[in-house]
Amino acid sequence: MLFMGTLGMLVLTIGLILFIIFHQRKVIRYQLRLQQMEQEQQKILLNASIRLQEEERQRLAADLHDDAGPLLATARLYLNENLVNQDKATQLQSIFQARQILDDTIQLIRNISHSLMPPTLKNFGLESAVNDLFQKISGSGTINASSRFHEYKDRLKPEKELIVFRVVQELINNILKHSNSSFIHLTQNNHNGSFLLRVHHDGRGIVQTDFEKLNKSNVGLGLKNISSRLRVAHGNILFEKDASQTYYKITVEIPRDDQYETLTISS
Amino acid sequence: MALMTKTIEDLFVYLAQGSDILVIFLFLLFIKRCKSEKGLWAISVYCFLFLVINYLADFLFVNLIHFFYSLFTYIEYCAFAYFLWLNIKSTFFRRLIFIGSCIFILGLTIYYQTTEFRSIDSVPIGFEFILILLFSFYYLYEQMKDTTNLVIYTKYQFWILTGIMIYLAGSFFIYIFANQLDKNFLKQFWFLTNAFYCIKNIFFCIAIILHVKKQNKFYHIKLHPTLS
Repeated sequence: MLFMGTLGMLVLTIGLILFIIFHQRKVIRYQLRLQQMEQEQQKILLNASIRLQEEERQRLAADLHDDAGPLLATARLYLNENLVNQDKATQLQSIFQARQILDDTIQLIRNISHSLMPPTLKNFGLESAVNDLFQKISGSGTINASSRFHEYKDRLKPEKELIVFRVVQELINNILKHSNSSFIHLTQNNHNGSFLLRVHHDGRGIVQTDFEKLNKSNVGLGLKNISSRLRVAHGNILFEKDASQTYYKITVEIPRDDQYETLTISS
Repeated sequence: MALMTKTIEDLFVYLAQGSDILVIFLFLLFIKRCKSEKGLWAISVYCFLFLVINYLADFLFVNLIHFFYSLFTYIEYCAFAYFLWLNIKSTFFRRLIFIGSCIFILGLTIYYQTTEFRSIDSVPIGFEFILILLFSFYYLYEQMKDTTNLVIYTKYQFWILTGIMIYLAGSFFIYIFANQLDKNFLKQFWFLTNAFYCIKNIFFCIAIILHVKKQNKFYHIKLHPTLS
């Protein structure tokens, strides 16, 4: 009995110590795997943001090269050295044509500049910029778009406004491209000190699991862009289907408080 | 045969005392690296006192052996409880250890005052072992929950605790039944307590070496930051 008791106690104690060692090793391995997955996810997001930046640069280069370049070259043709030798009527006509072309170029460059940084957002804030965007979409006549800000007396910080605006742009872009919906409706509220945006549409959409899957894959550049922007603002996004199963609902939540004062953004 | 058994018994007694000397020797050898660790102080002082008490009990004051046995229970409990109290993070449990220890020491004193001593103080030793094992389980549970930790066996505290637990678990039943069993029968198993005592001290030595190695690495990084 004495021997068995001693043996039993020893087995129990050593078993317990071994169990704790193996359990802890298992937990550490699991944590390492999680860390690795997070690093991979960050790498994907970084790649996506670099790719997006490159695409944006290419678009900008194409706009300048293909549109502004030929227009300016044409204007230069109208204003060549021979113009002084021509009669007054031809001179006037040439100058008029050149001016017309320069006006077009100015408008083109303005459009490019607006697409980079909407002036409404800078001057009048997120509410006006979003309303403006939705009016433009609605004005095209193909889709019914409306937006309503309920509690936006206290504006977000400019850098956060820009993030939200880019996210909304990306979401709307995706809806227009893929959903085939007949309406988009955006509402803004506050909830527990957070800024809340909800976008509803009646087309084809995605739910949270699809979003997470796309976020981890190599496709879905726009969604990764949304993720990385929201990460900067410490925000969240939720893709879900409405309770009635008729609409898709996207909720964006961003904390309003100033604990992320040192926010640095490169848009 | 009897001579052979006696030799084995003596061998374990000497080994136990030798292992105590080894712990003290290692602690003194690396005292620069170990002096900041209260836990290492606790176990080294405990080993030193065990050695002194054994010497006093065996050679100088043989008639006071009961007093030294009870003194040893006090010292052992205090050293182990203090070590665990140092390393447990939960304030509530630290308080519990403190209160439990006060009650235990008070109970121990009353017990020694009121009870006639037989061959060994089985009841206090039983309580002591149970309390220390409970505190040790809690420490391990706390370490298991703490996921910010490195692997548990890279900490020197783990090796000390393993030594303590193996020693307590291995000697528990022998001490508990020491007064009930026939002396000749008990003698057959008594060497086990010394064997587990040796194992415990070997773990203590591993703990000291591990701590010194870690400290060396730390000093190396501190002196040559670029070589880290």
